[in-house]
This record gives sequence, structure tokens and C-alpha cells, in this order.
Amino acid sequence: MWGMAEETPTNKSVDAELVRTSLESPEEFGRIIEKYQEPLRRYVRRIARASRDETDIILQDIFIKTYENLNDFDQGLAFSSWIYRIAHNESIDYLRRNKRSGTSLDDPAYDDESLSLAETIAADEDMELELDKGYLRKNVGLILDQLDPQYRAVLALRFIDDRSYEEISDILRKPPGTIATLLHRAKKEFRRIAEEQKKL
Amino acid sequence: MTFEQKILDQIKTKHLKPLSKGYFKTRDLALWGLLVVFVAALGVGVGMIIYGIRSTNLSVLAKLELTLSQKALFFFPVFWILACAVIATVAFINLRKTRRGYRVTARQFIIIAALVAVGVGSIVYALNVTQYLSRVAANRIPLYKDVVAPNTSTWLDPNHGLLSGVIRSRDSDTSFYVRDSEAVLWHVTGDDMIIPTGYIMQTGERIKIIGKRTGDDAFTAREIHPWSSN
Repeated sequence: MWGMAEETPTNKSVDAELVRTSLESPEEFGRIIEKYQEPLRRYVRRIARASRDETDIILQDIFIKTYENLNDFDQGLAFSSWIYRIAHNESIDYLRRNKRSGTSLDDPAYDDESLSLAETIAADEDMELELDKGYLRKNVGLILDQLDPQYRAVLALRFIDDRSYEEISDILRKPPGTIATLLHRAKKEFRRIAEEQKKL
Repeated sequence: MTFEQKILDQIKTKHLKPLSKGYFKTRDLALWGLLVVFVAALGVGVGMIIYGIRSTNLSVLAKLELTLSQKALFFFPVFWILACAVIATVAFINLRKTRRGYRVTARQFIIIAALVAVGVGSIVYALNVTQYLSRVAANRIPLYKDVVAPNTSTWLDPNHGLLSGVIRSRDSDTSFYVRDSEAVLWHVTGDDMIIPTGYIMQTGERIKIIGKRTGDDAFTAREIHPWSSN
């Protein structure tokens, strides 16, 4: 699995300390940027389907927003869930503003992640018989592009970032029960699009 | 320049600062305050529904010449039921905006909101608040009696076959004039009126009539009851 590992109590207290020191000195905020920029960059690219330059602009907005709202950080939540929530909202806003979809990303790292995601879903959904690895490698970008951003987000958070249902619920601001339903629908939709693509 | 330095530079040059804790506390308080207002409004709405249903005289309703759907509209305080649905929806959207409100499912909200609204509504009804509000609304808001709560003003609703007032003059036992509480003088007629045994109508007496409106100020009576009867 790529991205952030599941939140541990130690990680949580480290993040809480980072927030406290960032409120005292803006320079300390650099440590938060350093820690989260790569996982968030990957998440934003997956959801917003933005180019590298555009992703950097979105990321800047995310960190500025995070800094301005540091006092709104709910200590009861994992900081990573909170900052991912900001990243998610910014990515969705970007998609709405640009009305872009279907843009495949020409990034080998991204493709590897996507392939891993596709394989996990395929194994989970027992699709191996119908969709072989070669086919997935070739078409995973196209399949993901056609997925609803909400489905892309829930699949990425669960299968790439290895997030728990509760964390995904905190990031997407939806009840935990709804996350299970969303995940089920996302996998079903992934399968439907994959099968449709294969027929073409 | 690294990405991290770029952002820190932006923070410095634009003199950006974290928004104060007070700002977020005020926002949270406003959201919860609104929720309390919505719950109170929901309670009043449910109280009005209870009042509306309890105000309907079922024996009178059965005698009215109305279709089943008209009777249902007459019996159920539709306006308040719709108002409660709108208030509950807005309250749910508001709850979702609070810090942890997103964890509450629509089903959980419906159960909690129904329990709270019925509890508050019963208290509001028991304290006679709904009766008072209904009277004030009926007196001050045009069409309230006819459209919103026809059943709460049961005995003055000619369009639904109910009339009450004081007998002003009589041509005969089957033709007389009644002035209602809104000062309209009605010509009441009826050849086959049912009158309680032993009851004799007299000028100046207040009566209740069940029948049908036949004109702007004309009414055909089927039943006549003294005002004091149930």
C-alpha cells in the first residue's frame, strides 16, 4: 500500500504537537507541509485529475487554508483526517471549477498506484477471471477517469491510503455506514466500467 | 526554493494568520443555536398538528358533504405537517454542518427529531401555546382559518358545510337569518332540517348549523343544534 499509514496514537499526538507549535510560530508549519505534501499531492492528483503544475497550485491553497484554519482543528479527530478533508474539498472544488474529467495522468508512479488499486478491487470483486492484469495495466487510467470523484476518493482512501471506515467518514464527512455503501457502489461501478471498456 | 519555503513565504508576505479560536467558537455556537431554534419550531409545529387533530369533531366531520380526500385534508393539518417536514429538513442540513453532525444518519435523525418534536410539541400543546397561536393567527392572518386550519374554527366554515351565529330574524321555521361572528348575515333555509327533540329556535339565540352553502350569503340547513350542545 502507498500513502499514509493508518493513524496511530503516537502519530496523533505528534500531529497535535505540530499544530500547537505551528500556532506559536509559522516556521513550524513547515514541518506539517513537509510531512503531508507527498501523500496529499498523490491524493489530489487522483481526485482532481490535475496536471503537476495545477496540483502544486491546489496544494498551496490546501496548506494556506490549513494554516488559516489551524484553530478549527478538532483534537478529537486525527489531524491527517482533518487535512485530507481540506484536500478533498479543494480537489472537488477544482473539479467543479474546471469541469474536467477523463484526463488520464501520464505519471508512472500514479499508474503503479492505480494498477495496485485496480488489482485490489479486482481481487476483492473476484474479477480476475474476466479482467486479466495486462488488460488492467492498459486501461486502469481510463476506468478511474470515468469513475465519479466520490467513488475515486473512497477507493483511493481505502485501498491506497489504507484508511479505516471511521477515518474515511471523517474525511468525506459522511456517516460510517454510508462509507461501506459508497465503497460497495464504487467497486460495482469500477467493475461495470471495466467490463464496458473491454467490450469496446 | 522548495515547495515548503514557497508556502511559508506566502504566509509571511501576505501576513496570513490563523483565524482566532473565538471565530470558530462563534460559528459553532451559531450552528447549535440555530439547531435549538429549529427544534423549538418543530415542537410548535407538532403542537399545532396535535391541536389541529384534536380540534376536529369527528361526528361533525362524518356528517359533512365532502369527499374522502376533502375530509382527509380537513382532518389533517396539512399546512403544519408540511411546515414540520421543511423545518426538519433544514434542521438536518444545519446539523450536518456542525463539527460531528455528519456522523448522524438521516434515519437516526428522523428517529431523534420525531421523539424530541413530539415531546416538545406535547409540552407546547399542554401549555395551551398552540391554542393561543392558533387564535392569534386566525384573527390576524387572512385565509388562515380557511386554508391552514379549517378544522380549528369548526363551527364557522360555510364552505365545508358548517355555520354558527345568532338568529336575527325568522320568516318561518324553515327560513330565517343568522349573523355569524364575522358579521355576515346569512339566509338559512331548509325543508327537512333535523332539530333536536323539544328544541325551539328563538330570535337572539346562538345556534350551530350543518348543511351546505348555496350562495354568497345563503345556506341550506340539514341539522340545527343549540350552541351549548356537543
